[in-house]
Amino acid sequence: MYSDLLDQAKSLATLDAKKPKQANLRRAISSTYYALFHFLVEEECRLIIGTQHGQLPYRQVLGRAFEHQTMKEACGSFSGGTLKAAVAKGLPPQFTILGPIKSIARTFVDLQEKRHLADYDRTERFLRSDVLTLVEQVESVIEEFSALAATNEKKFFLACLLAWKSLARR
Amino acid sequence: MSAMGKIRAALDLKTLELPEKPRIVAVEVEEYVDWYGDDALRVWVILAEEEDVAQISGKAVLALKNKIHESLLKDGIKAFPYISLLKASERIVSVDEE
Repeated sequence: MYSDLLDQAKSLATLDAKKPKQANLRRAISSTYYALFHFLVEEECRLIIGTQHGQLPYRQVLGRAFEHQTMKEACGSFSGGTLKAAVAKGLPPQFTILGPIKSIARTFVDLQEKRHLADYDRTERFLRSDVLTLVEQVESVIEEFSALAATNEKKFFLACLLAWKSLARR
Repeated sequence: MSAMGKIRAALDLKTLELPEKPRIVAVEVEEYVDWYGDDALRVWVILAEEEDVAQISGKAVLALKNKIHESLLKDGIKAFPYISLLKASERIVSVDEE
């Protein structure tokens, strides 16, 4: 679904040849955010449930458990390159946050904020350059993240998107 | 140096060593509070007018934004930078946009 949402975002952002309509740019931002949101949710659900076609209903049901704010908090921590002590406690000393994980986490935090502004803040004005470069950025982080081997660091990041609230308050 | 002075120093185009492409003519920053009430920054990266946005790759955007984020972190600035790319000409507001 995420690639359809990115195509939709590109179409919306380029719909008006001259001056882009704010409504189209706002919807483009929202579609771009949801492309990344659903990509990350699907990645984690595949990890937990499995990747087979017959497991799809289980992945879809589990996908409903993800919370935007929890994901933002987890990504905010990963984006800084170090995890708070309560989360990092017990991780192997060699644990590092790999570049593609930092990049996708940063992109998620940035886009979620812009999605809030696009959907709820009428005082915010969106620009085509920013929207189009964001769409490209999301394609790039998804590509990088997908190419990353299923290391423990990658699996832990994905698990944190679901479990962050419980982990961070221990 | 004030907190904002430290932030501006971290984002000084002369020392930031941004990738050559796309060409950037200015980096502007403001303090910001995000949707959840967390202290953050808004950063505007001003592209040169001759840049064709359709030709800027996602990798180039990512390299640029990561460089800005890392420069802030290197100087101990933990506020999240919400970064936007734009051309100065796009700032001219038109009444028929809505």
